[in-house]
Amino acid sequence: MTTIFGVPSAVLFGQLLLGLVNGAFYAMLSLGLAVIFGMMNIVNFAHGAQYMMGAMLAWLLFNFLGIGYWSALVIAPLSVGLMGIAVERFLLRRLYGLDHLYGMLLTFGLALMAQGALSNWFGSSGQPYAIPAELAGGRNLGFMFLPNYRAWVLAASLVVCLGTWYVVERTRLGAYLRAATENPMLVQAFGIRVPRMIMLTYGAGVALAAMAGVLAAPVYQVSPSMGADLLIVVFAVVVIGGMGSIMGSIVTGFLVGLIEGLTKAFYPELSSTVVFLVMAVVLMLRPAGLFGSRLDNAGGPHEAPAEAPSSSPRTQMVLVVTLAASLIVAPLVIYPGFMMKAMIFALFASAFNLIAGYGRLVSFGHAMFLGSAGYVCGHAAKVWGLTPELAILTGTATAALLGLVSGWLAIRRSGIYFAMVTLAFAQMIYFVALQAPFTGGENGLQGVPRGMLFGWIDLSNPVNLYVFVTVIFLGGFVLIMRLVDSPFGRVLRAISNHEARAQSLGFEIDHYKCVAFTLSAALAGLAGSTKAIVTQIASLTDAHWSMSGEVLLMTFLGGVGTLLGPVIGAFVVVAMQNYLAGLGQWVAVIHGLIFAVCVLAFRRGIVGEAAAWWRRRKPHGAGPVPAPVQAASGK
Amino acid sequence: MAEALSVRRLEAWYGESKVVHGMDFSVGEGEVVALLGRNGAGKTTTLKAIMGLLQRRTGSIRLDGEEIIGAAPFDVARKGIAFCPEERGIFASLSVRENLLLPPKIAEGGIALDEVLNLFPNLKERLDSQGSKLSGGEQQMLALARILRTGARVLLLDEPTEGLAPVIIQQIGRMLSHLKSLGFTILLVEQNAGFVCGLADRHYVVETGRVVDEIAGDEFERRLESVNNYLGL
Amino acid sequence: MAEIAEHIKDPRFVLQTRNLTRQFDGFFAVKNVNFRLARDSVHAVIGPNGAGKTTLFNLLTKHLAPTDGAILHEGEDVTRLKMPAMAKRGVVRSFQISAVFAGLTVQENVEVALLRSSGIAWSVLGRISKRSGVTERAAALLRRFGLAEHAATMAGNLSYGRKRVLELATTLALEPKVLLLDEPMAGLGREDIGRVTALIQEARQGRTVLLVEHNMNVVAQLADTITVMVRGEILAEGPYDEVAANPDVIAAYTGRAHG
Repeated sequence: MTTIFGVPSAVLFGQLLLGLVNGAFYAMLSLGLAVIFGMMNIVNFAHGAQYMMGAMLAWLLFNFLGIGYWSALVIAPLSVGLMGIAVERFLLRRLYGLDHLYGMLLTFGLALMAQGALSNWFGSSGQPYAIPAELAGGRNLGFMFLPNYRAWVLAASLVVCLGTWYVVERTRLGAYLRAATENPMLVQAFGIRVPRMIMLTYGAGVALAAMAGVLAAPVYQVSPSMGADLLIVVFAVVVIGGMGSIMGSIVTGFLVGLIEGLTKAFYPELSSTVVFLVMAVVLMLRPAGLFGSRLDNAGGPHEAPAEAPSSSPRTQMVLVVTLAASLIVAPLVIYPGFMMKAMIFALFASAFNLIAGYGRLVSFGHAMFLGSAGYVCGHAAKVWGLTPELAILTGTATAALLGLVSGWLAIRRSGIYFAMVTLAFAQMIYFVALQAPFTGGENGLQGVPRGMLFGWIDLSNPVNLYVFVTVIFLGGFVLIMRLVDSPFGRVLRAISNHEARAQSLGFEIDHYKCVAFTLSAALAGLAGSTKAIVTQIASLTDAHWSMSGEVLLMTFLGGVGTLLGPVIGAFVVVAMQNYLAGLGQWVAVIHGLIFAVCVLAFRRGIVGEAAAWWRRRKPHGAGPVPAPVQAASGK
Repeated sequence: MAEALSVRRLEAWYGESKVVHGMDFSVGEGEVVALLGRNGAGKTTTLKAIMGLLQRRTGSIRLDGEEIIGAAPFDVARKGIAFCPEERGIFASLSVRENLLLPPKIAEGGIALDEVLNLFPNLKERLDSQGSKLSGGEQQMLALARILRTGARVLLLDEPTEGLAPVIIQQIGRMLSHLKSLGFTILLVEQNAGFVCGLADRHYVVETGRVVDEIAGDEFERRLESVNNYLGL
Repeated sequence: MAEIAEHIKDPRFVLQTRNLTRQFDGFFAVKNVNFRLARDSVHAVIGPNGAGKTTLFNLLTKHLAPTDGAILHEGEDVTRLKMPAMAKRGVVRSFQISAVFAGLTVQENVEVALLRSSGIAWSVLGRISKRSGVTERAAALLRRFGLAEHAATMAGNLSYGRKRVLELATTLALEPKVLLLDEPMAGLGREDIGRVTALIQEARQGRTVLLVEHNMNVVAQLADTITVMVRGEILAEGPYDEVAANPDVIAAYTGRAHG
């Protein structure tokens, strides 16, 4: 048997083929994302869910109605595409003219809802979908065995990709699309119904994802979660390629698939993280992406912050004292375990809010700091035998370091790209956590000792533990409060308001952003480390992307850019999880629903809306309430 | 002369700030009318308001007697108004041909493509070039050429001479005279008094969002001094 | 590069450019421009729309990188420096579309600038305390600019004219040596124009001011030297009366081929 660099050629070619097949899906999905993004400036976070829905629908059609593969290949994309059209018409359309992040959050919520509902009905385990009889078997090419179905997937995806490219680049319809991407207002002024065109484009992009799902059904297992992980890889592909060109998306998709295949053949341990490493390198060398020509323009207007930005030191003192008093009294009426969990998440959300609310850099990967700090702290306490305070310090420092490195790379992009980059980095950390020798894989790092604080306070005493967590939470909260009010915090807010102006005043904005990101990471790490000590376990859940989604939810629900908002949001979400635990996957659906409602109707969050209401009530207070900012029209 | 376009008490906002404060003027059928004024006077905003491109606008805009102030931009276009924006709006990723063919036909009576290309011979040679590769003059020609095919009878032209060399400005002037002779109704925004002189039938001077003066075509030469004063020259 | 710098080093000029060129897709927005900004002068760049004034301005302020050529500040080559570095050298710009920090109050806007000049911007846990004097200095600036009564207003809620005034106040808080103003009168009403003109008159004391401006009355009132640009190149340069009488300039503005 021939070998190439020590790898049997059959294995190598097999992996390359698998890589190409994966690449075909990356290409089809990133293509749809690129088309949708070009028209609507929305990163369609529901893309993975829509891909999954295509596959699920094919499976359902077969198992319940006996409708086979070929019909499903038509029916599923059409139905999912129609659902997409409804989503655009009734939901996404309300967000045009707002910051692109809102579209991302809304589609994220929709994805959670679809995924949760389907898991609830059909379970989250994978279901097999048979290869259609016409495409069963394979042929021997001499140097490798080529299964017919894989050949078909490659051929079909190439046809779909090139067909899309042809329509967009070479037809009159495509000319409308390209023109509307550049200047939708002018295209409208020529008599073209751009809103309808946008609706149909979104439908088409979604149908493309669903078609990829049907094609994927016989290759991978059909399950409600099949789209989520894939989508994160596709985001990395998008960052690598840049969303500038259709051909660029196709080429990058296949290229990344090939790289993955090669890695699987030569260095399998790295195969799940290699995409993210490539992304990091591209960010360093060519931040706009391989095929991207320009860096992202700043997003649309944000909702104006509702809170009067700086409250007087006296108000702050009252706030902290009230908070401390209620936390001390709370265990008398509320289960202390719940209180501690809620406080930890409140700290996590407040840390996230530091960068998302005051720095306007919305990270979709903050779970990496919570998770990695938890593991390191747990390992330090359990294996190295450090006292809890030192273990927590070690965990926090790890998160800070991780924040420094990932932040240094991620701040090269802004807005939605920043969100995608952080999400991709977090996924890389997740895979590391899954595979690293000391993390306990799926089981997590169990039996973390609580130990003796400073060597003499026993944390296994529940009262001590409660006081310990309360002190950490309050300490973190006060720290963040001071940070926001400090000169640094002021500059950070100024930068988030108007980057170019801040630069022209002499501020090196990247340095400020990087430091803010690191501080936020460190505080998230503090929460993660404390969590490991309190719960005595560090698990994969804390590093999973859904945790990054949860912290977003807490912060947006409570009120992004307000001090108390993330705290309240965290308490609400944790309470919900506790009391709704019996509902299983429906919790995800409820999360998704809250996301959608927040984004559509409630963008200031609980605290923000309350503050706005309060100020409306007494108009002579802190000046007029900033009206929700809207762009002129269209985009 | 029948009124093709009449604007009454128009107020319009650009984003947060109110730019047009009660604009009143009208354009007769087959007439060439110029809005003159300095930068920031509200001329461009007026054109955009007519096209329905601004969300906040009040007052009345009538096209052949029909109220269109609430209409969406694509409706305004379909009722017969074509717009040539100040920044020309050539789509960089489209070829010259695609740019030319982009605006859909909305009525009979537009100029056929061949004829349009005869009017603009430089474009004929560059049909397959990318929009981004055109010079400023060619861009202006293309921006003008592509709205002639559609059958629209009212043309809104925003500073067609901006930044162009004198020889090209003359060419555009001849083109507009030709369009006038074909019966097009033209509303022109300009800062270039020399260009509109002899071309426009009437001139409105615009300052801080209102019409402050109206000058008939035959008075224009005589009042050039005061026009230059208005324009801050 | 060094020899070029040597060649045009001249202490009378704060900013100089040498064959400065910027291309966009094959189109020369600014072409071989040799521009000199004399110390303590008010210098206006004018020209028809699309003449390249704003591009030149953006090159000088580091908003854009040149395709070719060099920029010198105080005789040193600063072509490759970025915007914050220029600000630290005392060259500060304003923006055509008024640039204020909309989510900060008027007072806070000015304080941000003062934080940098007083060197405490990196204080992560400190307060903007009385000790640093930032609050008082900001309040004094606001009084000088007639914004004191709006100190607690969110800058985003100010009228357009006030935003421009606030931007000027914020810029002057840095006590720049060179002030670059991008169409300071754009979009302003008559009264605001008068007020901003007076503020610039006041601000020019001991400073060099460069402005791009359309309003000729303002230019005539303010500028010692005027540069007229057309199609990316300098057409004429000199005092207002001289430039205004130049037949080439008249032709460029009225669009008539003269002669």
